[in-house]
Amino acid sequence: MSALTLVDVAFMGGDSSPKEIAKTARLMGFKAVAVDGLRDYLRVNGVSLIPRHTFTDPNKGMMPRGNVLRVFRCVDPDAFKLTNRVMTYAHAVELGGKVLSRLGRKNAKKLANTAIPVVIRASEVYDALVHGRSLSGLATLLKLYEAGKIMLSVGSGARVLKEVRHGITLIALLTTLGLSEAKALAALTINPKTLVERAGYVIK
Amino acid sequence: MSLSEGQLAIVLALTSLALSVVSLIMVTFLYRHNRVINSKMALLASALGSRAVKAYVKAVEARKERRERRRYLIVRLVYSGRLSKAELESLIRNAYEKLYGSSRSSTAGLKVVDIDERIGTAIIRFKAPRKWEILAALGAVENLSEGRVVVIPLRVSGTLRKAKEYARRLTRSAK
Repeated sequence: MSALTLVDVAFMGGDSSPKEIAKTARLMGFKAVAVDGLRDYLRVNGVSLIPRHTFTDPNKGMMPRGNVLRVFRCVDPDAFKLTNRVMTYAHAVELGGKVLSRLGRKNAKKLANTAIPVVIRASEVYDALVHGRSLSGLATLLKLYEAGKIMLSVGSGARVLKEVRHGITLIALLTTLGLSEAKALAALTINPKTLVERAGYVIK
Repeated sequence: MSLSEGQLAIVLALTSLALSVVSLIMVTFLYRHNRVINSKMALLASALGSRAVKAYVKAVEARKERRERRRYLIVRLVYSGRLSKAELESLIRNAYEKLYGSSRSSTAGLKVVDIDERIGTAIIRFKAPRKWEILAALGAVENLSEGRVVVIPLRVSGTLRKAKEYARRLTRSAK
């Protein structure tokens, strides 16, 4: 396992068994993984598995209470509404899909002003890069992050175990996208750790 | 007092000898204190703001540039079916080209030096300044192979001998 405390805040393959998830996380250098759909906190093979809940419509359904990492996912710039409900319940905002392609100036300003942590999925970034899609929204996000105006965390965004990428690979991706090495490292270590702490879990 | 032709020749020979000795000393001094002189020149350039001096300093520094060093990356491979050396190389090269373009790919010095199919490790050679790019490209291999091949970076080494040593140690621990 890596000497760094790498945390994956976006593992979407909740159907896999905890043992398999922990084994893959260990192989990829992660010490903690936030698993979407997991009911309770588990510690398997030295890896912490943290329950995570993702919601896309802030006005629909009840949010799970207790120590669950609650993430508001926004895939469309038009649906980017940081309502009071989102600000109260969500620990972070996850940006994906079209938002990574184009994040308006107003939305970027909103993110910087509300100081809510931002999560992005590496799988979506790789998809966009491989298929030649625009990533100007991501560039704006990275600029804000480099300037210290937002707190950015990067998760693997894997739906199946094979999609999990090594932590160093993700740091390298951020570095080649223009971030400094320190900031890229923080996006996978300090920031997700802080985010998970807000949900009530302390990673040592 | 007038000098004879013979004396004049001796004086000229001695003067030229003295000049050559002085120039030799100066060349040796310049060669030994090149760095100091360069920094002084840079200081002078910043003081004067002269483009010509700056260009001279840049030219001198460019001459000193060595060839880019190579690095060796030891990776663990997780794959289904068979995976040959050429196949792995083309996968990584394609991933690199997708992310950074073919012109950068051609100068990255990318090559799969060794592959051990029994325990699933490989050694990849590349130019040192491209380290982050190569590591990032390994993530795209999964997309291109549709999840068939997963490449996990383990260690970067400066020499092939050390890289092979590390791979051998991995083989021993796997047994």
